[in-house]
Amino acid sequence: MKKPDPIPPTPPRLLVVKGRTVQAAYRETGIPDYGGNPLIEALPPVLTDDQATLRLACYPQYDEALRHAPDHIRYHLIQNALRCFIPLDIHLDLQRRFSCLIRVGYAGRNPLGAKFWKRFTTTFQTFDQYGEQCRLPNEASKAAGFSIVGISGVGKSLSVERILNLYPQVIHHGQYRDRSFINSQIVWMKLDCPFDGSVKGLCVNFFQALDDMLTTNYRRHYAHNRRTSDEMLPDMGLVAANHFLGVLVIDEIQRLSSARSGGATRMLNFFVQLVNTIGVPVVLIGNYKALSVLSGDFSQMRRGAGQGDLIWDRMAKDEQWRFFIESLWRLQYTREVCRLEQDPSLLDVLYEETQGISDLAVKAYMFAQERAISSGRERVTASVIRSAVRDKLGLPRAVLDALRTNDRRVLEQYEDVYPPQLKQYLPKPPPALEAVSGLANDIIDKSRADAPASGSPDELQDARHQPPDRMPGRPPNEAPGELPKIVAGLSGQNDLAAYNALLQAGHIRRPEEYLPEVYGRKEA
Amino acid sequence: MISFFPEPYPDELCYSLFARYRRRAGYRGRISTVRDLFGLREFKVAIDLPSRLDHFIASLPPGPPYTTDRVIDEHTMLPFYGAFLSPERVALIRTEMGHPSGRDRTRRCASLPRYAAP
Repeated sequence: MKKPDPIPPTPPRLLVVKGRTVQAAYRETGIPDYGGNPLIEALPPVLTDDQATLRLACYPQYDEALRHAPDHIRYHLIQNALRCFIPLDIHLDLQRRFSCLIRVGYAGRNPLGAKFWKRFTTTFQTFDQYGEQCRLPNEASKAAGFSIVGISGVGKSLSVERILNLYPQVIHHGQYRDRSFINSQIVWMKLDCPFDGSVKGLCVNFFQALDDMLTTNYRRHYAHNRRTSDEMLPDMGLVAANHFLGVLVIDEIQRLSSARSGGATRMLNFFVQLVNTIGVPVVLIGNYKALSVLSGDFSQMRRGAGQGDLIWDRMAKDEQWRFFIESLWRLQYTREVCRLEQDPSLLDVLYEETQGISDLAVKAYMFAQERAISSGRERVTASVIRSAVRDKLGLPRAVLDALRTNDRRVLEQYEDVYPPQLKQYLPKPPPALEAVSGLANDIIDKSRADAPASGSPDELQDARHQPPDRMPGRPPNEAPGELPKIVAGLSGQNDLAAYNALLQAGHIRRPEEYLPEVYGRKEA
Repeated sequence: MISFFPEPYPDELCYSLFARYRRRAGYRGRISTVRDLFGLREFKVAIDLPSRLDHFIASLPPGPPYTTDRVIDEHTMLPFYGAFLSPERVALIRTEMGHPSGRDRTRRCASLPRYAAP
């Protein structure tokens, strides 16, 4: 007899980031390439930068009157700052990238297009970990992935989540025009790399996440205990293709570097295959530690990255920083009003203390208000910020100090702050002895550039590079230039006179004039 | 629950659609397919007059363009068999095809042998 199938209790939900689920509504995109593609027409319209800013921003409610609330209430109110999200240029750039990435990926996979299903079948007959890679000869995959690598705490994961949430996560299709198209399209999916970097863990998470969204049984079908990761990876590709996964985001990719035997290589190869054969864009997010993973075996994928990689360093002390802090500053609950305009130096103090790491800046501001309230000073000042940071942000202190002084020796101990591969892009430490030796050359070069066309420093310069038989000491063969004429008129007087004469003629300048300039250039 | 289903051809039988579903899902065994579509571990799908269609329709994603009646009319043999049966019998078979019973009962209603030649 048929007995009802016992459904096992659903395991705890693993997927942290969950988006909206909508029923498909199709709208014209206005881009000819995207017409007639239900996957793209069901997406929300492409946003302008202004619209994106409005949709991305998250600013907690603020009520000036709450400044006079009792202390214990205000301790809770200042936590609001953590919910704050202020869109900056880099977020808009990221939003544009995702917008293109998802749509271009879909443009190559129109399920109603001619021959799509034929290609689909042939792809999967050869989609095998150890089988030959199936490259479709007639249609190159237009999908492209990219990687986001940045210092911890600048909001990589948070921004990507907010940007992904501009899109619904699941779109249920039923009918497109007059054709039946039953599918639950998954527009995006964000998974954390398993803490031990194991491929099997990632596969299980993937299927579990899908089950959470769609109430399917994939985990049971594809990822039961006996199956190995080799068997599951092709299935993962198949399911991703079946549901028209728009973009797969893998966070914390640096965990792969500590992966067990060969896990990293296999997983990265799988991502490349996912991009190439099915056309699912893959975005990898990690801190600087991930560079060693990504720049090794992953060069393949980076080469194909159409949207360009994003290196996300801490904020510089510029207009963006000012804008960020000004927006944050309004969430103030101390009794006394303290405006940034009154004391612009607070911007610098906050930068000094947090080194442009936005997460720390928010926390530092929060702690400073807490300190101002608890100490009864009721005003955020530079000294309050400093003392709050010293007490509350003790652990990252060593790194922050090293960042402040650019101490390369300390920074190199923290691979996720100062990666060896990125040295050429990061600010260099202040010039030490080796810089002084280069100083002389710099001065000569500079004066050469500034000198008049017939300038004599050229001759000094040439003398340095001439072969030994033409070094000073031997009379030059050519006709003498202007310089000896000037000096010749002064023969008999002391050397200082010759120096002054050359100075007046504009051929040489005082060395002090250049020292600060060159020194500053080295540092920049 | 299932969350995708192949686009049917005109007059394609349910059995063929189910087979295409299994192929697209890449299931190696029969159990996974049957469990997805009918919520049972063991279920034999009849080729001409499938049953348990109500469950199948309910497991499609929300807002599908299908109803049990539409599937019966367009993708089973009932419209053909019905030409030779009394209207009461056809109505009975129609309800049986939606119900969660095995194929044997549906076939008995239609006075067909237990196992039709495929």
